[in-house]
Amino acid sequence: MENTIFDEKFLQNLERLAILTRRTLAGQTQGERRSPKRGQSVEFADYRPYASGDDFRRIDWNAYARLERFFIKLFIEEEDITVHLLLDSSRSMDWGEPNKLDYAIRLAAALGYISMVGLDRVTVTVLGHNSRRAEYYLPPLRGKQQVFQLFTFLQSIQPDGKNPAEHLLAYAIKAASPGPVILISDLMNEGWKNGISQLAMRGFEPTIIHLLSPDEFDPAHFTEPPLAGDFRLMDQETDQEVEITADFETLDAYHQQLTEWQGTLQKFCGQRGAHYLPAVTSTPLETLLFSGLRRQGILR
Amino acid sequence: MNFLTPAAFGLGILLPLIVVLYLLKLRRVERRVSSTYLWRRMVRDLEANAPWQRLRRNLLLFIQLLFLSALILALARPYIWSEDFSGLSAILIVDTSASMAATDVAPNRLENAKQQIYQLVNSLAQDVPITLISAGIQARVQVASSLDRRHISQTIQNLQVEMGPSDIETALQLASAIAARQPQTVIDIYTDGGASLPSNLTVNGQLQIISIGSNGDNQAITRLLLEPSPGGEDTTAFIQVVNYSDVEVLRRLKVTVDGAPFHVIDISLAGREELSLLVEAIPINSEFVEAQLFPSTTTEDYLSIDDLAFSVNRQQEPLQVNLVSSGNRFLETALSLLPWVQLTRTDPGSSGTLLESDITVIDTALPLTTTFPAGNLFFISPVNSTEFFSVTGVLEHPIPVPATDNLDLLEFISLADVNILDGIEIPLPDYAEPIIISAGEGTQKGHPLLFVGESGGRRLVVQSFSLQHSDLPLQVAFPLLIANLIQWLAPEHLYSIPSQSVPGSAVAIILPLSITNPGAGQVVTVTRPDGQKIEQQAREGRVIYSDTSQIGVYTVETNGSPAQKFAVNLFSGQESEIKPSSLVTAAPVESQGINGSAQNNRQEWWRIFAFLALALLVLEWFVFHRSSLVYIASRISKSR
Repeated sequence: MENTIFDEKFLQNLERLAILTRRTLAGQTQGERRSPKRGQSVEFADYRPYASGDDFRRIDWNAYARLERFFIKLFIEEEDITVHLLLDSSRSMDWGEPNKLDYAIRLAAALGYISMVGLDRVTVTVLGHNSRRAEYYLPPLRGKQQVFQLFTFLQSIQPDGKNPAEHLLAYAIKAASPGPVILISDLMNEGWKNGISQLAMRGFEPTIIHLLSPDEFDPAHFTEPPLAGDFRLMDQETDQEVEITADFETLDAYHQQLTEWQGTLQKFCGQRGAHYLPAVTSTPLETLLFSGLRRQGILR
Repeated sequence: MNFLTPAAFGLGILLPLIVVLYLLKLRRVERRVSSTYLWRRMVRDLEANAPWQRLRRNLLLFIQLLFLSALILALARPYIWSEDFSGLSAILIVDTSASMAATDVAPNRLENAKQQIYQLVNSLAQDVPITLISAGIQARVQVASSLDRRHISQTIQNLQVEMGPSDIETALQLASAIAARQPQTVIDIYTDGGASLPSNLTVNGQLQIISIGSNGDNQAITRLLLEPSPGGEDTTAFIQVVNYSDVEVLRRLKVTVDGAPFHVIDISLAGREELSLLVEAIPINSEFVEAQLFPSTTTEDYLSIDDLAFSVNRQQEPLQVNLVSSGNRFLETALSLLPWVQLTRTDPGSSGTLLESDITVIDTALPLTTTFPAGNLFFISPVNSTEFFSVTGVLEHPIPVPATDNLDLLEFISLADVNILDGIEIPLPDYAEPIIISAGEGTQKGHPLLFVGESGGRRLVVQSFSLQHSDLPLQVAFPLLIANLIQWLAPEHLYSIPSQSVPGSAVAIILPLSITNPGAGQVVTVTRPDGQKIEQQAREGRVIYSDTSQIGVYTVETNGSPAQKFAVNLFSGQESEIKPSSLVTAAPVESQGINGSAQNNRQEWWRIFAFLALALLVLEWFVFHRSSLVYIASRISKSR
């Protein structure tokens, strides 16, 4: 199954990467990430006075020799984290060459694989359905052996979601296990900011990968047939219509609008400690993973 | 405003059509996109500038409506009637006489007339044929009924002032002949007046006279003559200066002899005064005299070409007359009294061959075998027949009477008291013209007693009665008759070139060759005042030189003969009187008005509307592509 998405060599390259978190996050089971909890690792964290019921084996006898009081040695706990992969499945994602949804699935698969290799838990939610049904929600998976299940789930995603922004808000309110949230969407709706704010407020570490197709990024040059003349543009997601006269001035205004929009989003995310990464599907996935995401501090 | 093709207004139906097109929604191409989210945002921004967007659309509509309106107006060919010109064809007569060089209107009258004609030509409709006639020394049709405005303008540009009078009459006759073939012709005459028209001139077409010039202040030299002084030692110049203005002026007259200053006179001329001056003691051997008036700084002299005059000094060569006579006191005395005659007498028995001279007077009987010398011959009572006439008998008591009235040779001569004893009967040869004939009865009636003629390239005078057998030598008429006959016989080289001529007139140059050698094939070189040499082939011993357009001294040269000079001067009171006046007619010129009432000129305006339409089209293009142009400009600036 994974061969249809990535080849072996690519997977091997992915295994060198890991998802970064800005702060220590509490996990559920033992893993490889430092946890705010005290636990059983070999890394010393602190002392605390002995209390009744504590394990005698954890008393620091050297301290007792000097102070004649019992102290328990505390060690840093190493746990896993839960990586939340959120995929926009609205119909606007089924667009472009390369297709945005396909690109998003491959990107999510790669990030999920990286997380699983790092002994983190990965959960995938298909935004646009607000449902816990199995085809729209993948419960947390852990361990490399679960990768096939992840890939299978991702490949079954269909571009039929509606109101993904509202779904994001609902997810942000309800989601447990704060950890990195990677949202892959074209953000071609209103209301995304509420969900992102909610995620950041609840202790998640959101990363927004803003995915656009080449013709959305530069309609003047990548639209076939060329966008020149009088058009009635029809939204394939909402069937809304916009009438434009595509001349140089209009296309220039579109480009300015896009730049401003991305700038606004970047500023908004920056203010909330979220990563914002605009991406175009014409960029090779390897470049995005090994260069773009690493440069942003999302991967290492 | 009227319209030549009002049917073009039918295109006005396109005007509401444009508005309807704007009112109808544009037929847009449907295109599916992933999302219209960004486009909607952008359109919201554009709608923020909606007033301008609407204005831009309305501006385009406005410009397009204006463009179509201008185009329809141009196609409808609007025109207005102006009072400047009437008729369907125009004949423009331009006075190019010397007075048109006056500078009272800048730069001069002819240039001023040209400018007015340019304006008229440019204002006329394209389908109005224009004929341009210059009325200089000769009237010439410069452009005949042409629609080619460029050619007409070029021809107007090339018009030059001619140093002579204007032949307005011929120009009008030409114009009238042309107008007869064209309906509704207007004839415009651009002139400063000074020309006269015949009294009974009938002109086809409507005649308009445009007066050129504003001021008549001018002084001119109207005469310059050279005469030998009574003693014959030197020459006296007679100069006449006229003030054509109404105020007194001060002028300086400078006289130059052979190019060297000779005399300077300051003169004061009252208004309209004619002043005659004598300049004496000019060397007898001088070739030419030049007189020039210099204007003062106080008063104007608007015409300068008449301030200059020339005169050549002709030294008369003596006339060689050989009298072959055994003795005739009356005849010898009469001939010797002639001042320009150098008389020699030959005894008929002295030698067999007669001397060659200008005139040979044969007053004796010569042998039949005699060879006559070159030159003209004057036979008096010949006894024998010659190659020129035959002697057939004797006339008894002929009564001399003039052959016809008004004979030049018998001017001031009365034959009433002349008696003749007898004479020789000589039938009148074919070439001859009788001067005195016999008025006797019977067979003697009508026989010539004196006849003249030209035969064999020479002039002949034959008097058929002897002076000894008549009382003519005792009459007052005798020296006059001899003087007239000798003058008629004198070889023409003495008077071959007139010493003075007027601009534009032809000068007959008769070659100074012997009569028996007519000089065929000789080349005559005329050097004009500007130094240009013109060569002309002589025909039958004479050349007609006509290029006398310049004022000054002309030099005539032929191979092997001394150069002769002649002067060309304006000397035209009509041209020097530059005060603008209407054309002088003894009676009003009859001109045929068009349809009996004045009509106006049709001035078309379609060019203005066509140009306006073109300008609007360009403006519409710029407005329509304004955004693209701004975008391209910004891209270029960014790339820099």
